Amino acid sequence: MQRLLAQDDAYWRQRAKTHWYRDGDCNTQKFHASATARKKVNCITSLIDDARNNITDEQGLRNVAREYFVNIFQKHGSVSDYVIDVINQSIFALENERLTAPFTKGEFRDAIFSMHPDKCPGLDGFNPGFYQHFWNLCNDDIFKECCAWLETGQFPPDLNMTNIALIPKGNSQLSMKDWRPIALCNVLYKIISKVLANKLKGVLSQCISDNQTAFVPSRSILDNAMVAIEVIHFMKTKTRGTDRYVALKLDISKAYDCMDWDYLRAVMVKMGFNAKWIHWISMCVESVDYFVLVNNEQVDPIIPGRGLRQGDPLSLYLLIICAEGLSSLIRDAEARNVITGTKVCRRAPSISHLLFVDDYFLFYQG
Amino acid sequence: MLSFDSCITVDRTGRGGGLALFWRHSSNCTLVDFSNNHITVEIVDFILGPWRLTGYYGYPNGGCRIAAWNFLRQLANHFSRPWCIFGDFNDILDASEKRGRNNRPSWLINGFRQAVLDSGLSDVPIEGYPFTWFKCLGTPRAVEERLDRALANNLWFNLYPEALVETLMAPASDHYPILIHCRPMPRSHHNKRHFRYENAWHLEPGFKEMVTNSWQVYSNNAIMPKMSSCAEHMVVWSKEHCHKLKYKLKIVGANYIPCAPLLLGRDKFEILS
Repeated sequence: MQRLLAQDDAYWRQRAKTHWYRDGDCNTQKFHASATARKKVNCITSLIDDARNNITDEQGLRNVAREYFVNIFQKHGSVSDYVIDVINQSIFALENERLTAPFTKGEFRDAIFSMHPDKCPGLDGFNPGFYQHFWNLCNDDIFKECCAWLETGQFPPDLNMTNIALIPKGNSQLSMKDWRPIALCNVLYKIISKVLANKLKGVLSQCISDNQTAFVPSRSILDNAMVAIEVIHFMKTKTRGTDRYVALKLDISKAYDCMDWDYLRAVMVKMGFNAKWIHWISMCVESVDYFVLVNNEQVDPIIPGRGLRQGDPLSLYLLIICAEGLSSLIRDAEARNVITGTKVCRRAPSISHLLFVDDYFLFYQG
Repeated sequence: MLSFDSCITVDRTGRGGGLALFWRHSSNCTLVDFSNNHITVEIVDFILGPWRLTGYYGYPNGGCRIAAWNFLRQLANHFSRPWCIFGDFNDILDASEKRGRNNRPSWLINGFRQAVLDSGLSDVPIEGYPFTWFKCLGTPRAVEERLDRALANNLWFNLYPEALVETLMAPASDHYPILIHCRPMPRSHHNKRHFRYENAWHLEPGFKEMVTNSWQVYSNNAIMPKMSSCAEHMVVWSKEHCHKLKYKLKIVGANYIPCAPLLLGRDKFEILS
């Protein structure tokens, strides 16, 4: 009886996905309710396609979803050399050595156990719970094979097949734009990606400028919020003087999905990452095949030409590395006195821009 | 008007009863008939043609049961076309539709059944929580019943073979609302099942040994094929061991032990950590 109840509990716990529910709570109606509600909300019943037709049949829905993603993930050549030129080298031999140091089993262990066991599995159906339960059984195999893949610089073809689940965004879902694509990677891939991400985290504070505070260890996203409030307050209360200030808030649409791979590689080269590391990252990012899930049905595979995955542990850090481009451009312009940042008082540091992942705040003298 | 276009109401008598039916223009409704206990409208479906829908409220007090059944038969006599009737019948079709306190006397259940049969109606399958009305929940005198339902005749089922009733949630009533889906979305997961690892399997005795064995059987393979072979083993194994969880729980849980959750909390902690 005890065991059956515990099993029932685990079953519903995996479905409810209320990860904030910790050990204390029991198998209540709340689990069932949130599982059912999730199922219902995630069901796509109709979509408006590009030609403004309302599509309701299953096959039609799948086609619309596929078209949409083929479009998004299509490569648009756009390497802009003047952006690359202004980026400074910030990674040197010492950091590179640390990044490409031999892997240890401990790194893999940490990567696996830092994932939530009930998280969604990828295409192969194994969730992090499996690797955690059977860590003792499979650690040798995982460690050996993953190291071999990284050493030869090649993943097996089906390792990086990724499901895209669609999660509703906002209140009403009319077209594909109102669904947020979440990539469900194979956990085995996620382990590798997490190991690399953990290494990358260590050098992040050196290659990311102080204007970006999100995700960088030892910085807090709240710092930037405070600075932003302070600057806005200064602008509001300023009554004297002839100098005028401008504040701009930029939001990048589909920042993850539209990230250009060549650009990412060029930025990393310029920052000074060594070839081995860049190859690893390219390998992780570019070996993807997507399968969009529409109402739990797989749509034909999509082979992308750009984009980072929301759901891949590496993506966060790669995104802020790419955002360094804009940051460097602004810093360069400031150095050439093309624009002048804001100073809240005479001795304060000049602030020209603040970054919150893919949200930018620009301040300058008009 | 709650984002509906039209409405018909029947005033209450004394403290009980009172009906209202709302609809939108897009559903092509016309009023046919009404009384203290029902409102009937005709709905014209562009493709399938006209059918009739009756919103029904069964006499609540026990003394009027026979009158209620005869009323249902009477209604059925009027309709030779596709017909669906839904609402609060204050009657149940089976002893399993009541939980808690005493069982409903069988002559009441049989009487209602006979009336439904005589009217040529059958039950629209329910999805979701099986009871629609409750009283004294959380006390030893708790009682839950499935008083609300939808019934339809064969002609209507010919139009909407997939139809089903869903129980919704409402914070302010002792009844749960019901929603009739005439054309529900087809359930897609029937045709193809993907392998999904279940954390619940881990609690089943013998699972660990099974995985260890199959892992070692394929010990020479590369990790990806090894994992898919293991997945196949797990699917076979889980069919033998785990798919009757609900059923087993029902048997064992017949005499439910109220202190179980407390104990559960502790050993769950061991499982997760």
